[in-house]
Amino acid sequence: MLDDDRRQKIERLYRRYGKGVGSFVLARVGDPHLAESITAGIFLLVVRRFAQCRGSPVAWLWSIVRTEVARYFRDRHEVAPLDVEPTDYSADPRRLAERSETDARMGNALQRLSDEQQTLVYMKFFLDMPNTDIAEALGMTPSNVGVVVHRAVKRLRELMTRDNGPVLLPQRPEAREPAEVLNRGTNHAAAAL
Amino acid sequence: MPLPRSEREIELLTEGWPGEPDDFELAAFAVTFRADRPELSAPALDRIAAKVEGELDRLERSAARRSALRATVLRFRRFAPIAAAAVVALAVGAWIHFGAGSRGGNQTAPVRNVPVIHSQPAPTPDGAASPASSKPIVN
Repeated sequence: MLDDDRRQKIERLYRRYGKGVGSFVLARVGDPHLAESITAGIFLLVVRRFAQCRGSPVAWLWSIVRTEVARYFRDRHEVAPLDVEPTDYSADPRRLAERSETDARMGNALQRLSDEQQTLVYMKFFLDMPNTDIAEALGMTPSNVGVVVHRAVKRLRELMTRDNGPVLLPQRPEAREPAEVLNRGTNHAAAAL
Repeated sequence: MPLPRSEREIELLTEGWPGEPDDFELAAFAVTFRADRPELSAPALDRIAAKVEGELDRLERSAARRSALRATVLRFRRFAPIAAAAVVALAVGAWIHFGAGSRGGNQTAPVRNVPVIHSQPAPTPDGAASPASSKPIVN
């Protein structure tokens, strides 16, 4: 019988990682409706196969994410989108175009990373996991995680700027905030020197 | 004093990086990359959550049905020898009853398949009986 403990674990897994998984899938496939459909499929598999999860739930979840995304790219026409709200066409077309371009470049860059780099980028940037948790999930040392993430970010930057010039980032308020902090960070660093 | 959210974010993203000259630019790229990751809308996430809940409920109902069936089978399993004995007893009783009846005196008379021979005079046109024929009439 599906006991309460298992139910709670699955619900917790979705609350903790659902958003990140959806975000990663969207970055890979580029279509919100398809991403929703694929993410729903991923978590339905989690519910049905939870008994097969032996080790780290995050690593197990990643194996499902990777398989389902690969399946989508293999049989592109078989994923039926869910009933979803219509796209908001009232938004600024220029922003939509920029957003679309950024998403496409991100998706292409992610696709070209090695398996290990992709796994770490997914856990670090989409699931927001600290190195210690990633290391525990993947059986690596935290310092090794840091090195691989560093290498992966360098590769991502190279891929996203190689053919298309510098990344055109939409001027969104939430995108500006880290840059401001980074500027402050520069000042702090300069002051420290 | 706690760090602002974004400073913590930078620390988290650049955690464990080996020191390299362009790390600041790379960190800026990492922060921007993270800030620019696309996200599913809140209604979309709610719909997925509803599907997950629905699937959990469905599996729970299915598990409950299986469990009830298993309990019923287990409950009645201990009566199986008694039920088997009762069936055997009924079968033996029926055999004795109907078998014994078929061997008793309650049999129907066998049909006789022997021709009956009648000798009777054939009528004549004037109504007088003709002398008995030497040929028998076979019914």
